[in-house]
Amino acid sequence: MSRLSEAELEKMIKVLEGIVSKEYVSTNLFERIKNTLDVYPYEVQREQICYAVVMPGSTQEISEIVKYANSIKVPVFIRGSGTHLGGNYRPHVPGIVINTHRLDKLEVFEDYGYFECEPGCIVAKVADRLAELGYFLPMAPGSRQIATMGGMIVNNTSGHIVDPSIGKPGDYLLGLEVVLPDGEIIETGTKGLRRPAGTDLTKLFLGGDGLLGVITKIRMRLVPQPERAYGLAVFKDLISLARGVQRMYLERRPAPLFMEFLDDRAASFGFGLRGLEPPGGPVIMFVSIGSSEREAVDKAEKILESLRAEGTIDAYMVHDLDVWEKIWTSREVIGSNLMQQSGAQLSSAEVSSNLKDLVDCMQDCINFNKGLPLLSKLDLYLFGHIGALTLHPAVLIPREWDDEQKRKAVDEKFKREAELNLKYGTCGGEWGQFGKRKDFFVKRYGERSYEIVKGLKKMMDPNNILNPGILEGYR
Amino acid sequence: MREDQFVDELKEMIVDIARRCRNCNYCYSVCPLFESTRGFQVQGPSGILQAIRYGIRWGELEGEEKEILRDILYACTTCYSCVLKCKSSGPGVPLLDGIEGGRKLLVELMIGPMPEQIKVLESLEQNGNPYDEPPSKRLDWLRDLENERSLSYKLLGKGAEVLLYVGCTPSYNEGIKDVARAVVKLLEEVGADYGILKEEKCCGSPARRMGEEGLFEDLSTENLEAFKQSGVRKIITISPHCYNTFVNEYPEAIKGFEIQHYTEFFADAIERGSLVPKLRIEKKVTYHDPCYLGKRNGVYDAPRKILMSIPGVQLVEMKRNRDNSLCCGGGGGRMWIEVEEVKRLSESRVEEAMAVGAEVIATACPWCHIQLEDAVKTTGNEGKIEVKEVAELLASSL
Repeated sequence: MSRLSEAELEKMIKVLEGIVSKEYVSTNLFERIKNTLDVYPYEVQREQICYAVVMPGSTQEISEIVKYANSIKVPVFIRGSGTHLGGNYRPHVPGIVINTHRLDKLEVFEDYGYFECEPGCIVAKVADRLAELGYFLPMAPGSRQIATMGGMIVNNTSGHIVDPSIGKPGDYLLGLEVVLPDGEIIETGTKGLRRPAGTDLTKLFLGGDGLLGVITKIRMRLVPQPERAYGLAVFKDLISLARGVQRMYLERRPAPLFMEFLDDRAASFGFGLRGLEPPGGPVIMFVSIGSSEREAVDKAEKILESLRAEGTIDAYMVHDLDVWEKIWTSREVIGSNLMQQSGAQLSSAEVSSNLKDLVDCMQDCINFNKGLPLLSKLDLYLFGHIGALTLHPAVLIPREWDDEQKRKAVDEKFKREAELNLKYGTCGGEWGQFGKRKDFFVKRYGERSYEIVKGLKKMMDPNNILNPGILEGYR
Repeated sequence: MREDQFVDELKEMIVDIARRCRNCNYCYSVCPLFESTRGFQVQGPSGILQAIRYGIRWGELEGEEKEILRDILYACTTCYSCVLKCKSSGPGVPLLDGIEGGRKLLVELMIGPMPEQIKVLESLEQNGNPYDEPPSKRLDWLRDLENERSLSYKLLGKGAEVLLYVGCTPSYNEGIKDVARAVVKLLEEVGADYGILKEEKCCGSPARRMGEEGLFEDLSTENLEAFKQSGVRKIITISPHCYNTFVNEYPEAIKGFEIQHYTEFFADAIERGSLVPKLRIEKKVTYHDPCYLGKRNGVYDAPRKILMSIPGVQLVEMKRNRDNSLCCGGGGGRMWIEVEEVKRLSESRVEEAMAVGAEVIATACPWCHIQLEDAVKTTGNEGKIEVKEVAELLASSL
């Protein structure tokens, strides 16, 4: 696909304006730049800036845009808030960016037992609305105040939630409306409460990494808001912390909704920021759920038993909600404060351990940046959703580094992450595949598996119109 | 040569600030500009900052894009929500330093400010106020009050303990003159030894917000000199914008004065017992936190203390209050330009007030006052809800 000429560009803009109306098409250079940026710290290049940003207001408009894009062989990139951490959102060739901002309708059908929403709905707004009605949204990304439902479904990520407790968002997904890469609109799934048995095309798009279709409507089952109980455990070191988590599973304790860990340094720092005494060692903080408070408390106590058996310095239920608020939010303020103190940008990897090798994996993460030319120069912080066996080794990339160094640093990070996920036979459980992780996919699952995905892509998107570059991999 | 250096250093500063932004876009969740417009990314904090960054990096300050960049930079109300959000959840990028720095750069390169703001700056320079009003009429509001009753202020010159720095809007805007008069009545009641400058000039905040740094320096230097000459110990302002610029932006020497917003001064007086609100005001009142008083300077409690001390007042909070209060849309030079809004900010705010059953929206900023009063009319809520300054409510309770 070569660059559009001035005349072709002008024609394209007119057509787009005809579809969504002039006020929702922007060819403003700066709008185009911002819609081409993601969270990675190196700059974009002129050649990759999109031709135009459009904000459709309906499925029909998206369908027409995609059909048209196919006819002129111009790529289409779908953007919610552009907060994807795996590098899936940074167009590398110019195209049309469809920003889903206007698609923010949410309807709750209590009598059906489900809600339907458009992909541009912000996660926090959906969660808050559901909470008002006594329901629970089974998604908790750290970026909830800005992340969109479309992106969440495209990744099938629960964010920080421990999958073994309530599963992934996909387990609650009843059906989708999708615009295919050729512009056709299809519906998948069911309006019942039972997800389809057998072939269900929902699966092509749920966790689809944006390859095979544009999600235009999401139907999810309503889940009653559970009761919660909170616990904290302080360990002597990260190895016994890891053993504590293993024991929790092996002793068949009910998996918690959230289980976070912080290394000693991060914990001291974070707790201090929230006005709490430094815990004196790495910590686990967790939330158990139940249909009654007693059930939640019971589950939390069982977990504490397992954790204590690995020699905790301290392990207890937290009953004071104000204190819990401080503990829980200490995680959030760590990242921002580290960045503020140093003026650098936090960049973390997503390492997935298996249960058996959790201790080894923890050790590998403690040594994550060893031997890496650029990353070894930086301090390493370690935290993550340990209950889900997800670890986030994180570094602060100095802003003085030039673009090439920043790019190399990010590459080193993904490469080391890939080594570890390969070693443990796992794969990312939070951020999706391909993009910056395409090399991993091929190494992990083999060329044949990659060919299968390519084959699907080719069949459904013969002109490679939809989000090209994700499958090929980005640098 | 020095000019080029100024421009280069400014560009470097802006790009350096923008490099700290990681495009997490959390700032969009609190930006009033983004909320009230169509949803384009250049109408949000990170988008504006990245626009000026790439504008500098890609040399777009000479070409056709420069006016688009100007429009992007000047649409921001400078409410500070993004700065607070980034500080609490992100890398702590001083976004407004970047955005206002961008305005300084554009003015230096003669691309900014917005065309409608040029006459405002000219008026500031020639008349010492942004409203094209003659300096000779600046104290008319006071003369009108003197015709009604005797006052004990001193016209400075020299020799009072407290300076009431009136500000341009309360001096010249008919509706806000009542606020100035209410503040004077309160000062009389407290028995303060107060003075008013004989020839007050604009604090300079509008110049700073519009990026006209030279004019800001001139005004701030002149004002500081006048403050020194006056011999006062303390300065009270009516507008949070004047307050903010004195406290945060004036030269170091300003630290020799104690600066208070009038709400802080009178909250203290009430606590000491030198001001006792007596007459009942049986109203459900909600307080709208002005961005420049609240978010920018952390003054949230003093106005509320005053309102709660007035017998009969039932204080209710809007859904968004204190540090997540919704901007009225008047700051950052926006009083003088039109930004196309899908949903006017001030109207959204009036609706929020109606939603909690308020009969009065109390505020402590002349521009919030004007914006909200306008919105009460345009939403067809005249007669159902009214806008009152905290000073007006307090004065009418004496």
